[in-house]
Amino acid sequence: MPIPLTVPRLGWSTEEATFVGWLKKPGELVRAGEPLFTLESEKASQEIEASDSGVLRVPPNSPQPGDIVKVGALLGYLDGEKETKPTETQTAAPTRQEPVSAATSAPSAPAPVVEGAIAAAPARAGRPAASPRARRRAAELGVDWTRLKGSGRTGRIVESDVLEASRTTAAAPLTPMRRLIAQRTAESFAAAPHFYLRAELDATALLQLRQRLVGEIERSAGVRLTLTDLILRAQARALRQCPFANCVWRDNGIVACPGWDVGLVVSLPEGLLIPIVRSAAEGGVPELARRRAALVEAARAGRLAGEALQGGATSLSNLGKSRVDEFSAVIPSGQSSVLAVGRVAPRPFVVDEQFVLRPTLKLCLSVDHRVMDGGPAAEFLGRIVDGLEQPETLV
Amino acid sequence: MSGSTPASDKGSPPAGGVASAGPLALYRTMLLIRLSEERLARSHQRGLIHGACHTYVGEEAIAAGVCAHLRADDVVFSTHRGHGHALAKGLEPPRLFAELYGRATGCSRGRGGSMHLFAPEIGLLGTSGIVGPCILQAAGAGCSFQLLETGRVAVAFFGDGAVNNGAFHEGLNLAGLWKLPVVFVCENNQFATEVAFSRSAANPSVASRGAAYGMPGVEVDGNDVLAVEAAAREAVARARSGGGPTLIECKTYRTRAHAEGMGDFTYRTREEVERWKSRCPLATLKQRMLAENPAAAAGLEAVDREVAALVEAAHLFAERSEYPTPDTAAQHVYAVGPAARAGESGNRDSRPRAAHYPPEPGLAPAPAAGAAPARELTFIKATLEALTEEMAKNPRIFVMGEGIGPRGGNFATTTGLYAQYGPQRLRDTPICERGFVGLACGAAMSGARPVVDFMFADFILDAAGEIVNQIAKMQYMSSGRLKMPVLLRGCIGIGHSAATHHSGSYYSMYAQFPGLRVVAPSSPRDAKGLLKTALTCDDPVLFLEHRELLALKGPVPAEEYFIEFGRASVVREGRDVTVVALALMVHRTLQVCDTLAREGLSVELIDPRTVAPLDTDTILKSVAKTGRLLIVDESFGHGGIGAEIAAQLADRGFDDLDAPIRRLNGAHTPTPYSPPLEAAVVPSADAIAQAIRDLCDE
Repeated sequence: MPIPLTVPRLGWSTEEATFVGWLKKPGELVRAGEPLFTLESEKASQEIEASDSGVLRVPPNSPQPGDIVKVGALLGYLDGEKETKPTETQTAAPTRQEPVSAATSAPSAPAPVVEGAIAAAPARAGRPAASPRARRRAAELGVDWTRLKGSGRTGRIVESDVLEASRTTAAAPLTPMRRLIAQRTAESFAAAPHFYLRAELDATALLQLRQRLVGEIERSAGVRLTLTDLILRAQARALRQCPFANCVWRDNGIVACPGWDVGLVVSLPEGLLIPIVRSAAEGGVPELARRRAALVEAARAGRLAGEALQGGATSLSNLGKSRVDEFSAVIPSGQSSVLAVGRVAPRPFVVDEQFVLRPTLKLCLSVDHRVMDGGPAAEFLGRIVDGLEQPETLV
Repeated sequence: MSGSTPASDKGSPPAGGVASAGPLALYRTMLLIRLSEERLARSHQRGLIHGACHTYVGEEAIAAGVCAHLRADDVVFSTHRGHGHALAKGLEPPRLFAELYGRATGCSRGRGGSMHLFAPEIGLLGTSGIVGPCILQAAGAGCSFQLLETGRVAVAFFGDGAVNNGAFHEGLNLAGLWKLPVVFVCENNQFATEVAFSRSAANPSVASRGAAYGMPGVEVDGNDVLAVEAAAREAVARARSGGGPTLIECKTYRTRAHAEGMGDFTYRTREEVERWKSRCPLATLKQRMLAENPAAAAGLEAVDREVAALVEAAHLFAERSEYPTPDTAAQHVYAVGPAARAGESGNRDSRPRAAHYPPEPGLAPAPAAGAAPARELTFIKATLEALTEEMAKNPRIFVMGEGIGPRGGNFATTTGLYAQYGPQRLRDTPICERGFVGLACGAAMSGARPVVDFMFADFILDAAGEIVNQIAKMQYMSSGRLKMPVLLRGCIGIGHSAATHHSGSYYSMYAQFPGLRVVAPSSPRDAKGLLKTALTCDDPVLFLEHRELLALKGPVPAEEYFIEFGRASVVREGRDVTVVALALMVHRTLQVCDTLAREGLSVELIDPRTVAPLDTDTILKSVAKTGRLLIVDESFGHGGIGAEIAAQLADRGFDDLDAPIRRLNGAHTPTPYSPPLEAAVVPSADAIAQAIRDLCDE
């Protein structure tokens, strides 16, 4: 009996994923436990292992690499090792045409003869013909040549077609990650009614605390404490104090998330990932810093599995290393808020009714109005600010 | 003679050398041959010999009697039945056995076997599987010895099968004409393979044919070693003293089958074989010696014991020797490095070659700043300059051809040289292409550097066997111990209604064969540089000159220079399409490049200059840039050099290609005479331009 291969659920909120491709060839014997195909869900890709053994069979109408697939969708089959050829491939075979051999077109003119194929450029079923050079160039430039129209005499795609396409189409190839980011941010921005709360705080104590702890933590935990760690801690503590902020909107209404988890937006060359820092409210700061560092490293190395990206109602997006003073962020899909943090800079600040120059931080909390109204959201942001202005409480 | 140092290349003095032509020595040589052959016949049965094995049993008196008068530096050329000649000339038996057993210690290092025995060190310039060429090669060696005034003698052993062959006629005529120091020994064993001589010769006397070539013809009993020895003494003395060649017909009989393992009585009878066995040359000599002096028995018995031990030792040596390693199979196809022939004059060997190459490209050289502007010479003048320079440096160079003497060559290829060097070095030949090419082969094998001027390359086809089977294979068969500095030049190409016997381009055909260098220059500058290389390299070179280019003028540097084989010239740089063309087609293509440039098509034109070796690297580099390749070749497309270039590029440059590889070839027809027909079979400038446009539209 053939064993159907379907799209598995990767995390508790996954409904669909991008089918990246097979890791085995059709007809190849697959053993249970071997990586079989790759799915990209949320913002990470994951190799899915075979749960059974058998010979991989991929029906012709199966999802193609790059397709978005629903959880449970059929991808293919594992046949018993002795089973005969499936009918799909048998019916597919006759539609394939071998290219006409150039050698068969014999010259008949008595005059000087140009030897070569005059027949139509060979094209494999469903694919335009492309010169080897064009295909190589397309691979270099990330151009999908199968979608191009060739300008060669017989419609063959030649190098100049690829060069033209690379000039007029995307500056960069559309990767599955890019596609997902586009899809998710558009979805979230359209579905979640955003509003924004802003606050500026005196970061003097925060900076002093970090200064005081950084050397000691580096020695003891082997990790460099960052402001991000302290903000994560403040955000998680505030979440614990404001359970209403630890909720998200689902089709059936507001649901609470388990644990006090905070997502951290990690910027990558090809896009971004939001690994979830679990239980960021608890434990020592060195421990938190170490977990944060491990997650960032894993994200950059592409080693994050789907589970590490699932969950949490709020995230932190810190552009403090840049020249940005403040900004507002789009709420990550499936969450209800995001805290956007700009750089620390000396700014005029009122202390005891006097203008003084203080290092300050500007925060902006984007909030999903379906989950929180202005008052509760203000309380949530206020708790975060309190924590950051009295940082000793965070440790 | 000693057979105990098989590893040494130094031949011991020939068995029964000049000082030992007495009966006992002759007996010993014959016995060595007889016992060796009988031992080899057993080894053939046992499977130790991997190919054919033709024995000399019954004919031993001839090799022994003739070689008794040869010096170590005299040379012999022999046949497929050559074991006896090799042993009589002094080949150590272990090296003979090892060769037949296919071992690395064999005299041809395992590249030859029974029919291709080579030991130049002792003057064995080869046995051959082809009937006839040995006659021409011996004449060639005679020519070489005459030119170099060495006093050496060349001997051709051949069977009655060879005398009804053109090589016999052409070779004996040339030798008689030029009074060459050669002895032609016909071993008339009465069967050419299995065809009786009486059924193949209109004139049953071979000896009588000597008169036709102005040389003495002598018939002797080939089974009487003393009679052979006496005839050979006279013939060798005549040759050595400048008296010219002699034809000796030795009537004999082989008493074993044509080759071991073959049936023997479909074409002759047992009775006839038995009758000849009773005339065994060894038994006859032994009886005579004992009759004259009964005390000779002791000496004869001592020789019997010694030779039996020698043969057994040879067998054991060969059987214990290693086979050659497979990775050496392609060694010795070509000579390695520049010419290094001992005794050749000239300072070539110490010359740092690369430094002499003038800057590229070939057709439109930009003179280096400060350099004297290059002179303008015609193509043919440029080649004459190369030949003149090299002949002045190297007294071993001589030229053969029809009308290349006082006339200076039909195409002025040798103008002025006869006056300088005379008839020894500029030899007008009869019209016998096979003859003088075969002669050139032997001359090259024995120290000279022949230049064969064919006038038209079409004429060479009559000599194709000598080129392909002999000249091209000689370095390989001799495992690199013979060098083959032969230059074969002639005109190619269609034009001026020369019609089909004066228009062929044959470079693709010759390029097919290992061992040959094939050159087809397109400019005066390239022609001179390449001819200079051809005249100094140790490989046989076909130098093919397009007749329509002979009058072409172009810049030729005044200083000496050489152009290496296997280096293509980028005649014109371009961006959009690579065109590879040779000879005249280079110019046809150049004609259209400017027009195409105005249309926005930038052509890169490459002239390989040598078809073998072929510089595909340069073409590959160009196609990596342009992505498109057109090969324009006046010659035939089918199996041609264009097909080879296309195949190599499709393989090595597949991912560089942006369009199919195209060829534009001459029509696959003989060349017609009438001008409109003639024009229709050669790629025209318009056809080239259109082919380039079409390719760019692909």
